[in-house]
Amino acid sequence: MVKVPRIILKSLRDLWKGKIQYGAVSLIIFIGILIFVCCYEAYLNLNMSYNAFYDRLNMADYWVSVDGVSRNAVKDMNEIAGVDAYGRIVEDLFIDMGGESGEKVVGRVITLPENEMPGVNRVEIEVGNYFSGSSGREILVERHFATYYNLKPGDWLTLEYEQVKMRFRIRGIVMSPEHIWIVKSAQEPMPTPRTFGVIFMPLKNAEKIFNMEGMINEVTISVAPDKDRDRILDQVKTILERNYIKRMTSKDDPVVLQNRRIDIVQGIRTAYMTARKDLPVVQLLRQDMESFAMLAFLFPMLFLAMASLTIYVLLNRLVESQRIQIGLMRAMGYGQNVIMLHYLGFAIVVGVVGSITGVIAGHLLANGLTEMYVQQLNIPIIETEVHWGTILAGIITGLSIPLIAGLVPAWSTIRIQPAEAMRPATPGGGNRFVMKVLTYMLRPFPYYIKMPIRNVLRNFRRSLFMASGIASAIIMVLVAMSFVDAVDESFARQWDTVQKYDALIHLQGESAASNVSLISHLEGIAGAEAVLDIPYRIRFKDKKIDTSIEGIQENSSMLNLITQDGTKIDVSAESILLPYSYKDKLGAQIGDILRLEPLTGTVGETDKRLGGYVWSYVGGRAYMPLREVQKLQRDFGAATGIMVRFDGQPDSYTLKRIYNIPQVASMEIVTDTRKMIDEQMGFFWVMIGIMLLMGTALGAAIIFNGVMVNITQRTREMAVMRAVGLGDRMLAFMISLENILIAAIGVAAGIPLGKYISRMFFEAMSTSAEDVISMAPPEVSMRSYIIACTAAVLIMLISQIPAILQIVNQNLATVTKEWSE
Amino acid sequence: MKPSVRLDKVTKIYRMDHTEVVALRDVSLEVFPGEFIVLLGPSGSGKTTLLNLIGGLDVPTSGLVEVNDINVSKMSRSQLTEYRRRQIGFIFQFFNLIPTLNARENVEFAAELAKNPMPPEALLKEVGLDQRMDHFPGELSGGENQRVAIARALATDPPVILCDEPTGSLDFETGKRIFKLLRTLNQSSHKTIIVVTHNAPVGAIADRLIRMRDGQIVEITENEHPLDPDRLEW
Repeated sequence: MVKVPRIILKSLRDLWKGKIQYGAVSLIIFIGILIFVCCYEAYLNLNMSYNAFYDRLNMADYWVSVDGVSRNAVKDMNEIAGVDAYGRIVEDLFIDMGGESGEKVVGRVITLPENEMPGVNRVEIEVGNYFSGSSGREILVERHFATYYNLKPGDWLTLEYEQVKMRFRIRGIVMSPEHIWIVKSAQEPMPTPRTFGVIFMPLKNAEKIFNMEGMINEVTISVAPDKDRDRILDQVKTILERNYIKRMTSKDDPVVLQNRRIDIVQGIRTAYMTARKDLPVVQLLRQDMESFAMLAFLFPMLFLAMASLTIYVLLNRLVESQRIQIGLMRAMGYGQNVIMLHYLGFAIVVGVVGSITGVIAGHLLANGLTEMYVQQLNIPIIETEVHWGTILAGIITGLSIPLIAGLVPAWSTIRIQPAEAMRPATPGGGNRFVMKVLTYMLRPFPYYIKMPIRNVLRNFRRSLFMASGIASAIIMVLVAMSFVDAVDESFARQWDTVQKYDALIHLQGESAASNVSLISHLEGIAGAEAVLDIPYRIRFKDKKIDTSIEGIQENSSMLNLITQDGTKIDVSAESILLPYSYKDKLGAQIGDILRLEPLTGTVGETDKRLGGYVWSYVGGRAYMPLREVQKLQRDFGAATGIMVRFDGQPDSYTLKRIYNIPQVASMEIVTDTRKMIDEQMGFFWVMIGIMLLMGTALGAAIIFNGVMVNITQRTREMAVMRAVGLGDRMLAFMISLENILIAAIGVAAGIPLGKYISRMFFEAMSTSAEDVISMAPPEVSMRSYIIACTAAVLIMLISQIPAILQIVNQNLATVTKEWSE
Repeated sequence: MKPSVRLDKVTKIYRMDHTEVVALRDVSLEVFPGEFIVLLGPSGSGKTTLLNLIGGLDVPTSGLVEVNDINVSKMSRSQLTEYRRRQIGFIFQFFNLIPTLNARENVEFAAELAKNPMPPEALLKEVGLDQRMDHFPGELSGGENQRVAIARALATDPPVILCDEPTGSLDFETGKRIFKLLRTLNQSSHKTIIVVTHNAPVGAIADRLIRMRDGQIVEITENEHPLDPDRLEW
């Protein structure tokens, strides 16, 4: 049998003796590494799953919207080596869902070849079949819309275009990589499936409906990875030019208004190219994924920082308590390095156990998390693999953190002089001056009050460690709760403060503003205000943003704009208000002059002073007074929507009357939008729950260790108190009082730190300039403070129970005997 | 005969903040191989300091400490470690056993440091603990613990054994047995043994009794007929 060297055996026995304490530190490292590996692997897996889904359905690299071009242009594009192009018609119409209210839904029609899937942007049939090729009236329905309305293959849908209604039979329910999340436009990223649906139709049918025989208005292009993309895009441009599309612009290659005017006067048609990365749906996913990746770094950082602190304190305590053993080892001839390594070994073991188990559990959970997330989005492909880089990073981090933290205590063994170490250490009495002041101040108090207060200051480093445990628990809970607060605050701001309307009616056609008066006089309508939303490019110096400008009534009772800090701000004729998320993108300060260029049409170019930045939760648009936007459009009757407030719950009669107005395209009910966002938050709440759970575990582990260190260092002192007749209850009271005083220090430090770290987390997670969703800055609520402090104190009171039990159950005779060992 | 331990004008001064404490002042002493020496003196007389200097646990402020022709006073830390490993065995008042190791393992803990260690089981048998080898310190009596400490001190087969108040925390009878054991080992293995104590009657069992006071040797008494420890009374 292999004989274990006795110094290793000593390590093992010491570890076993302090198994709960070392186990608690390993648990902290375990959780930190678990979160890192789990979230980061899930992030990588999700990226792989998305890409696999994109690849399987050959999602396009470029979308080129054209005013209209012959299908022959697409044929020419397909001749370019490495290019797979598909020309399609993309148009909006109405879907008549029938029912009592006669509800209208905007349907986005996207064409597909009638006999086979296209080469680019294919769809995945979830239920039913692809078109039969019989030239019948068949459609495929995107799953979000189908799910909301419970549509199945074989059902019929009535489509309405230019007041002509047609019935189509559903052949299948499909998924599309372009519609993992339904995004209507960058300004309306989250339409509800109640009001917006995507349907796929054979090209031939769409040509007839939209009167576009032989024509398409969008080309989707996939480029082989090894090809020169710029060159290919140049070739695409050349083909478009040959087909009378004079100019192709993109986000990065804008056309100035003057050129567009000339284009229109000369009857020149243009195209607009969007790269895959700029698609709103891709941006939304990216934002979501980046939050995920950020979570994978920020939370483990907090855990590992706490683990390093715990290791430091624990090993310091071990070295202190084994001073005589260290002296003995030195006296016997054990080398300094051997002794140092012996104590560093504790940190190594804790690191190995925490990181290896953390990596394994993290990896296993990563697959589950990926699956959960992918299922929420209904992506049919789950790609998971072992990400060795992440695993290695997890192990290295999990090992190096305790190792670094353990270096100082282990190094301190070198300074211990053997002769000195053999003498028992004098018990710490604390700072003499502080103790004298305390003695004076505490004179009127009984001993069971005096002693706990003195003990807090007697070994202040020990007390600080305990307090750091409390503070860390508070920080973790506050960070988690601040997300809850931010969401609550964002929702409250959006739906209670900013949006004062119950529904937004989308209008079509000219002079639509006249409908405001009509709608506001309907029974069941408490108020109505017109809005005019026009796509614009806003420039400041060399920076630009493509967005839309919404004209709203001055002193609007429907839209109560506020600044980032919640102050009310109103539109005025002299200026424009921008969403806060544009502040970094444009870099413009209030008072700067911005250049406004309409993205459609030839009128409306102007300069405006920046009047302020407004807060907006979803999407982002600029605001000006309605009349100013109408003036820019040279149409004082123009409106694209009407904000409506109902008088109580709207009945089907009221809704039907609204839907019956010819210029009403669709209606977005605010409660629907809110419900949809609530549903999408499900995953978020799970993550918050996990954070709270882990924060509690972290706090418990640190506090447990702190109390154990605090009490085990004073075993003899406690035994003396018991020996002289102090009762168990009184001893427990004194320990609890001492811990509560320490908890007060932890709470005092934890609250401002938690607030600061919450803000840091929030800023780190909202650094992307392309973010579609922006949350209110986290102002931690009183509720969160109360929850955090109560949780921390409760954790502390529970965590001290084992230590108190150990003290009251210790055999006085044994302790006395141990004094001589 | 060449001395096993030689101290020449050894002074040890401890500096604490702004005060200096002279623990040893110009101490000179020679101890010969196989001698059993008792260092006697009141608390603070410098006897433990003297023992620590011989044992290489501390270095003198001035003077020479030589053990078996090795100059201990000028050694580096690593040389001192090696010196302690090869030349010295320590026995302490409070045993200083490792509580997480049993008796056998405590002895093995030291034996593993030596190139040619003494067999731990044989040593434990020699100190009368052959039936208690697998017991942990907490399960042994004070006397038994000190026996384990003695076995541990012998494990590396050092020529010099230093005992700092070895019976200070033991009762009279147990203390006598420990001295008996030390004397027997001294006679059977010819090891040099230096015992520090403040218990005057113990001096009677030594070959030489050295009395210390205020950091100086005040008297050296040779016992021509050392007392059998069994006959000790105090």
